[in-house]
Amino acid sequence: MNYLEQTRNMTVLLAEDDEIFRASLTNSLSVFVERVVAVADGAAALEQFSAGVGDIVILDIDMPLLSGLDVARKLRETDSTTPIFIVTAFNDSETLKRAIPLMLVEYMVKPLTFDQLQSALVGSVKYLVKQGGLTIRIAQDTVYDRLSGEIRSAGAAPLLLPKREKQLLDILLKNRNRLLEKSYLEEYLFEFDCSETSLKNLVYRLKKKLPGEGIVNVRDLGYMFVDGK
Amino acid sequence: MKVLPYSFLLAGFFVLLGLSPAPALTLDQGLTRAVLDSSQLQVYVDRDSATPADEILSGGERYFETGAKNTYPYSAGTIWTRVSLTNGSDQPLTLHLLNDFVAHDQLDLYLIESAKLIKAYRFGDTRQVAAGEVINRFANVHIELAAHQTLEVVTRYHSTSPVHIKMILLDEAGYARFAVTDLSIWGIFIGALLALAIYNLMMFASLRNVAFLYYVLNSLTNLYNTLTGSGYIYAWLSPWLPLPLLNLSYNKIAPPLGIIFMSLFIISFFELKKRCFWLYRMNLANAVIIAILLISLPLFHFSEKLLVYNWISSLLLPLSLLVMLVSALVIAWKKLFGGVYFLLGAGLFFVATLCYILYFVGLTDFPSSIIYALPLSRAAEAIFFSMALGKKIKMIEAERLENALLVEESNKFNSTSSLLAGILHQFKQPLIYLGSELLNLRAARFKAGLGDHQTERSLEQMEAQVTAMNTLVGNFYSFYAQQTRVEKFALRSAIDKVTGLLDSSLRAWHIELRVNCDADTIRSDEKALTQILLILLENAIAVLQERQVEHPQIRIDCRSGAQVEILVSDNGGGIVPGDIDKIFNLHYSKKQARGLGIGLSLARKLVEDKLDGRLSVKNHPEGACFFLTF
Repeated sequence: MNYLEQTRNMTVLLAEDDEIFRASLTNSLSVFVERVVAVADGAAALEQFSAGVGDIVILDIDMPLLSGLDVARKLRETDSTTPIFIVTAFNDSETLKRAIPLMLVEYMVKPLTFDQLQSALVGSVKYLVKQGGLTIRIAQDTVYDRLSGEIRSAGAAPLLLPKREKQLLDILLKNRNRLLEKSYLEEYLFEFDCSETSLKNLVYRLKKKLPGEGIVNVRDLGYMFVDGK
Repeated sequence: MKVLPYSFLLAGFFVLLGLSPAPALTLDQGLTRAVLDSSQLQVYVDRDSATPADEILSGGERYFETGAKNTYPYSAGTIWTRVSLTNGSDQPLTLHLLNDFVAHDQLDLYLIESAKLIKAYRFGDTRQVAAGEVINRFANVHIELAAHQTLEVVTRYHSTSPVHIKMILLDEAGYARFAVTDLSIWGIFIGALLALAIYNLMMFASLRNVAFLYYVLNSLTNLYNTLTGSGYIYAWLSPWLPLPLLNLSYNKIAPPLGIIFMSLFIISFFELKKRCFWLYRMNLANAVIIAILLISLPLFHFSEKLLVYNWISSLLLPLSLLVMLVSALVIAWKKLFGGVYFLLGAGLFFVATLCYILYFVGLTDFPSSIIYALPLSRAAEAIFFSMALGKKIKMIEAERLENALLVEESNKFNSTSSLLAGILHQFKQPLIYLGSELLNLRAARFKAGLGDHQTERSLEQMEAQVTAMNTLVGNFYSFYAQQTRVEKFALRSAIDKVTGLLDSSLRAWHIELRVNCDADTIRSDEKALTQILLILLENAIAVLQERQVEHPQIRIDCRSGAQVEILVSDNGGGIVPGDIDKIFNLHYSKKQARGLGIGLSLARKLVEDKLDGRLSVKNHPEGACFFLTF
């Protein structure tokens, strides 16, 4: 498996307060990943992550409002599958020690070299594979491959989801058992560029491809993904 | 030979001791021998204390036999003595019977005429004695003998230690002469003590060195002991001073207290904690044991078991004096400043006190003038002590100068540290940008599929150089940016900080560094520790470099338990044996024209001040080994 290939359709969430370094790293990352969302502080990073952004998270330690370690701690409260790596200006073994329980993929001193960046990305994919973050079981005998957007059922050919459907399923799965409001989904998927029925149709098409209950409509307010019994 | 003048002084002391006037002891009116020795005494040893006192007092002559000796080494039982006094003249006669009994004992004295008890006295521990009855170590009884009257004096000793009978019978004139001699000799003693107390108090006031205070306290204790312990002074002073009250258990409080103060004095005056640790421990143990003895006194007092206390203290006190004597010997042998004077002065006093105790316990039969050894030795001590003091003052002065220099050096280091940390921080930023741009460039080339080897190699080289520089700046920064504070940190990471700093010079000289550290986190001042390690390692590197050692090697071993121990050893051949005591001295440097001789003395000062630990050095077969504990 070519690990580096796997990052091509991933989104990286980068939190870094130094403008120059942020822009530069964003540039370099763009070579390997689909999208880089760069923010300037820890609070913004949390906001973005809870909005479903970020297959890989890169955090600077020294940031205003919330430090990188604080952000990582908050993320780990709900999420253990997303790979996180920390970058820092000065290597400090004490901070490193505090970072151990956060299950970081890498702890790197700025600036990153080309090899370091590559190996960190490879490490992230490996971490995702190990944590089961790449394939998600969505029903009995059915798994969803988050990277390729394939649905594989036992005894059936793999089914490739179109882009919008994949996006919808991704955000629903990220927020399992949580209601996502219609307006939020519309903004996320279509950026308001849609008719009233667009979302409904999209959900309908996706539901057909999934076995079992999966996606439910809650009182016409929005949708959520419910774990199969 | 420096020792010669001192041996003269010493000889002079013993000559004085031998010549010191024994009390004039002649009596007329038929009593020619005043010291009632074995030839005149009749003695009865009652081992089980079973014979009723009444029987002996009512003319129990059959029990007594002529005393063959005057020391009775029985630790239990009762010794009875009997002596008959007759006034052969036509004049009434006043006699003074001084019974020089060990202060520990209990003594009963009975005056009997024709088998009839006239008067009874009791002296000693078991009850409070009035000022007139006892002049301290003497049981002092005034006996009026009418013309041609005969009196029998029966004395009963009870002691837990061997009984040593020394009875003196004096007439008025002899009593007065004895008093004057005693008074003058003890006067010297008191004068010397007072002088020492005042002198040391002034020293304490000006130098603020606690050792002098201990000596003042020791002198005052001895002064008090003398005032209450010397018979005539006591008798003369008692009308004006509330001595009977003080006298209650003076001989139980003052000597131990004196020993405690003296131990503390020895510890602080010679700075034993840093100069000779085992001796420090020994003296501290000595002080603690004696303090426990002293604290336990009320227990014995209120349970009326004072004789048991005496038994314990007469065992412990000579032992603790021996400890001090050994300490004085070691101090002189180790050539600690003024140690020889101290040995002569204090040693003399310890010996005199020991003899004094042995004499009173009755283990040896010194001439009775031994009691004057005490004041004489104290006077000698005053002389010798002032010599030691002179050395000490010189040393304190030198130390102050040295401290000022080291403090200056340490301040210099601190201000340089913060300056460097600032500069390094400024260096970091452009390095990061430079590195990121390189990364960008390589990423862009990767994307575009450009892969010519030449350019890739150059870019890789550039990246490697930036990384190396970055690591270097990082190492220096983490060393210089440390804050001075006591906190928990990993010992290993502190060592790595220092070795990271020296990485380039270690590599330049092909020095192999081995770190063996099974210590985890410790609580200390990390900045001071890394500064000390830096000095030790730089020193080792300089030595290896200068001596051109083959396969140069530095080892760091550490252990942490109750104490943290760090060993820094090299294979640079070690320190010249004669210099091993000097290497921590200021301005000692063997590095040709390179060192100012500040490094190691600064290291030792930092260890003592900041880590509250010790730094010592030893030679092992291959080189020097610095031993740091804190």
